[in-house]
Amino acid sequence: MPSASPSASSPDLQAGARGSGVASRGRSSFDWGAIERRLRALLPAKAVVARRQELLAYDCDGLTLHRHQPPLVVLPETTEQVAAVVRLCAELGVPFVARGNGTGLSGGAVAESEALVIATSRMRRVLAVDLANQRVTVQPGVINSWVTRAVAGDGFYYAPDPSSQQVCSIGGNVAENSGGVHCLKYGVTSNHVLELEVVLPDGTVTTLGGSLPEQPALDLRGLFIGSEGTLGIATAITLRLLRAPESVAVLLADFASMEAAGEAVRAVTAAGVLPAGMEIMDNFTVNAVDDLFGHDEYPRDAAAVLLIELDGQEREVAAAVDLAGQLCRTAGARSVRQASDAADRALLWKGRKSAFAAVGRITPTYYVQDGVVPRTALPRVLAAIERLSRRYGLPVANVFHAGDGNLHPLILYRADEPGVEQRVSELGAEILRLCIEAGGSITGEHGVGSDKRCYMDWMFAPEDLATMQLVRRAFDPDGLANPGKIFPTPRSCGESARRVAVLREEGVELPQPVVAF
Amino acid sequence: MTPEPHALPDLVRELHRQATPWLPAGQGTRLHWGPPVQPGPGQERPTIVSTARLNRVLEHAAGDFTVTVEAGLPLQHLQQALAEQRQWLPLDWPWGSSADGLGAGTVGGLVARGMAGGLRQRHLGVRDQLIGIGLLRTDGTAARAGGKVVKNVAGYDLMRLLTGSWGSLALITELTLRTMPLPPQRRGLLLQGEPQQLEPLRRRLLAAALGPELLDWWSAPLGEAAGQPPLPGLLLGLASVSGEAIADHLAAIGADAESAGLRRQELDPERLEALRAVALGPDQGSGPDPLPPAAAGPRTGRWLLRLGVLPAEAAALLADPLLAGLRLSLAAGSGLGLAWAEASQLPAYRVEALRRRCRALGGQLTVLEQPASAGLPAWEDAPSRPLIEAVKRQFDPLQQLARGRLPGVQAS
Repeated sequence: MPSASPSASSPDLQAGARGSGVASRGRSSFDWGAIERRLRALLPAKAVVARRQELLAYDCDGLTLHRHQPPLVVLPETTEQVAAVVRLCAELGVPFVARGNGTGLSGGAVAESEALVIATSRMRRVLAVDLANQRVTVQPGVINSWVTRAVAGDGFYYAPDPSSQQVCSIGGNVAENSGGVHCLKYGVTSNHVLELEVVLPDGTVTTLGGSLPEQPALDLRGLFIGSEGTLGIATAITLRLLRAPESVAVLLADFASMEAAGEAVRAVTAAGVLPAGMEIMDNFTVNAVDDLFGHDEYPRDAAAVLLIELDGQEREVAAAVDLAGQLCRTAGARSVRQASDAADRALLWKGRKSAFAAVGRITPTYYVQDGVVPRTALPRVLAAIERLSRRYGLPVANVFHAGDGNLHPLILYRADEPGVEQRVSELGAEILRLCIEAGGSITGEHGVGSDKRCYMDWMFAPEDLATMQLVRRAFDPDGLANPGKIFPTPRSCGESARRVAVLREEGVELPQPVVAF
Repeated sequence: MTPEPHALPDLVRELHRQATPWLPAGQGTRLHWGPPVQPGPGQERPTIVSTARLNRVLEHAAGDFTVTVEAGLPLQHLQQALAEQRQWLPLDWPWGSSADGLGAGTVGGLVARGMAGGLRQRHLGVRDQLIGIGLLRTDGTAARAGGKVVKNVAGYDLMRLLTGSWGSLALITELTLRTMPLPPQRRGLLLQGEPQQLEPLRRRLLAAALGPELLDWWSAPLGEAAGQPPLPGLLLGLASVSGEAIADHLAAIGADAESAGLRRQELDPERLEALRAVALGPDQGSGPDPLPPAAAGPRTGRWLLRLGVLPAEAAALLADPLLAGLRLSLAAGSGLGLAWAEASQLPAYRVEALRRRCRALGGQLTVLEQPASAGLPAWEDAPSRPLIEAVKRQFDPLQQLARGRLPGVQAS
C-alpha cells in the first residue's frame, strides 16, 4: 500500500553482511563491452543504455538505500526483443533482472550482482480490449491506472489498486502479486490475471493460463504471479475487468481502544457485509494528521480511527452503511460519520490519504514495514509494536488494512543520527517476528526481494524452501533470472544467521537455518 | 492403502525406495475422472494412497475467517462445521454430490481437481480460496507453502500449483482456506427461452449494480430434468445484506423478461438449492464408495464433459445442434461448465466435434468420464507442455505419481 514516496527510505537491513554496491564494484566476470555490442545488434540504438549517468536511474527501486548500479540496461519494446535479449543471456550465461517502473519496495528489481537489467517501461501498448468478455490484454510496461482509464468510459475498471497505481506497471504488479486498498473485497493481482505470455529464462516464449479462468493444465500462471522476476519475464498480460460499482459510501468511526476497533472490524465482516476496504489509523497517526491539518479532524484521544468503504448497488450500500454503523457503535465507537457523494467521501478519506505526509512532517525519513497477522491478533500485535517502539526509542505510526490484517508500520527516524539505521532495521525485524509469532507473514504485498530474504527461514522450514526451489529449477535451471532474490543464502544472510543465533539464545523456537541449494 | 496419519511419511518413503507408481487419493469418489492412470510394471492396477484418515478440522479461526483442515476431511463435514459458526466455504459441491453434499468427496480432492462451479461468479474458484498448503513429496519430504493469513506473498504460490494438479505432483495433506459469512439474504430466478432471447438478459444481469452470486446457462434437457419445460434457461442466484435490494432487482428483471417473452419463475432459497442440485447430475449420494476397484480408470457408460467457451459465445454454444440431448450447466460469467449424457445418447465423434467447436469459441473441452470404448484424450497438450513436464520431473523424478495423468500433457 505505501507508495514510493520520495521521503520514504529504508536502512540497508543487511548492511553488515553485504555493504551497498560491493558486488558491482568487484572484478567483472563478464566482458560487458562485448555484451553491449551483441545487444546493439539485436536492438534499436536507443534501447541499450550504457552511459554511466543514465544507468544511475536504475540503481535502486522504492527502497532507496539498496543501491547497485547495473552494468547495462536494455529497454525492449516487443516480445521478440525481450526473447532475443534473454536468449543472448542464456547463451552467455549472463544473469538478468526484469524491471518495470522501479516502484517496488523490497529491492526486487535491482541488479545486486553483475546482471543485465531488462526494463519493460517502454512496452506500453494496450494490445487488445474485449469488453464483451470483460478482459484486456496489455504489455507489461502499461501503468496500472491506465488500464482502468482505457475502459472506464464503458463502465469497467481493473480492481487491484496499489497506492502507487499512477506510476507502477502491470508487469511489476504481476511479479509482486500486488494488492491495494480494495483487495479485501476484490482480491489481489493473482485473482485477476487470465493469461500470461512469458519469456522463459532460456529465451523461449510460452503461454501460461489461457482464455478461461480454469485450464486443463498445471496452473503455472498462478505460480508465476508473485514470483518476483525469478521465473521469467511476462510480456503480455490478459486481465479480468470488473463493472464499476453503482454506489460507494464511506463510514468513519473513532474508538477509545484498538480492541474496540478490532471488534468492529470483526463484527462487520461476520455480518456478511463485505466492505471494499477497511483501514485503521492509530493514535500517533491521528495526532500527526491533526497537526498537519491545523485543526482536530479526529479526536486527539482516539486510539483508533476506522474507515470503511462500501460499494455496490445503491439500496444494498445504504443497508450496509446502516448495519456497519450500528455494529461500530455496538463495538464502542464514540462517533460515526458517513458520506455518500464523492466530495464528502473524499473529505473522510483525506486524513487517511494525508497520513504519510503527516508522519513525514515529524521526521524527514521513515521506513515502511509490511507484515500480516490474523485479523483477531491485530490489537495484541499493535500493543506489542508500541512496546517495541518505546524500547527502541523510535516512534512507530500504524496505518493499515484492517480487513485483512496487513500492517504497514512506519518507523520514524532522523537519518543523521549516528547508528540509527541499525536500530531501525532491528526494530523492523522484531516487528516481523511478532507477525510470524502471531501466525502471520513477513510480507502481505511488497514482496521478499532482497529486503526480506533473510527472514524467509523464520517463516519457512528448509524443506519448504527446498520445495519452492524445485519450481525455480524447472523454470530456470541455470539460475539466471533475478539471481539471489526471495531465497536466503549463506552469503546474503550471514547477518540473519547471527540474528537467529541470538533468538535461539532467547529460547525462541525457529526452524533450522536453511542450507545452500 | 489408507494409512494412519503417522504412518503416511514412512509409507511414501518406502514407495519411493521401491520406485512404485501410486496415485494420491481422498475418498476415491472421483478417481476415475480424467485420463486413466497407468499401473506400474507388474502391477494390475495403480497403488492408491488415501488420505481418508487425515480427516480433522485442525483450526477454524472463526474471527479470522480461515480454516485449516487435513486433506482427507469430507467437504460435507467441513461445510457442516463452518455452518455452526454461520460461515461457509463459498464453493459448489462437485458434480455427482447429492444436494446436502453427501458423496462430495474430500477437501483435498476438490483442490486436486481444482474445478469450481457457478459460485465462481461472485466468489472465484477453488484456487482463490486456498491460502496455505501442506504436502508430502514423493520422497516423503513434508513441506508447506503459504500460511494462515488471507494476504501473503512470501515465497512461491504452491497453492495454485497444486490446485488442479490431479495428484501428479505430490500428496496434499493439509489445507488452509478462507471462509465467508453465510449470506444474510438469498433469492433466485429461473428464466427460460431461446438462447438469443436470453443473451441480452445475460449481459444485463452480469452488468447489473447488484451482481449475481451465480448465473448459469442451462440446456433444455437440464431444464426438463428439473421438471421445467424443455427450454434453455438462465439460473440466477442473488445474495445480499439487503432483501429490498434483491426484491427491487428481481422486479426489474421480471419486467425485462416479460417484454422479451421469457418464461420466468422466482425461487426462494430452498427452491434455488433444489434446482442447483439437479445440475449436480444424477444423485450419487449413496455415500462415499471407498476406493472402488476400478478407480483411476474409465468405468462408466456415461459421458461427463468439462467444457468452456468465451462468455460471450455461450449462447452460440447453447444453440448448437452438437449439444442436442446433453444436460449442460455453464457459468455465464466465466464460460465454464459441465455437460453429461448416457453413452448411448452421444457418439464419440460428436464429442470430438464439440471439442473443436469449444476451441473455435475460444475455450476447450476436458473429458472427465467416457464410455470405456471411446478412447478420447481427456485433455490436450497445453502450450506450456515442456515447462509442465519440467515441473513434473522436479517434483516426481521417478514418475511415480498418477502416471499418464499430467494436466496439460495429452496422454499418448
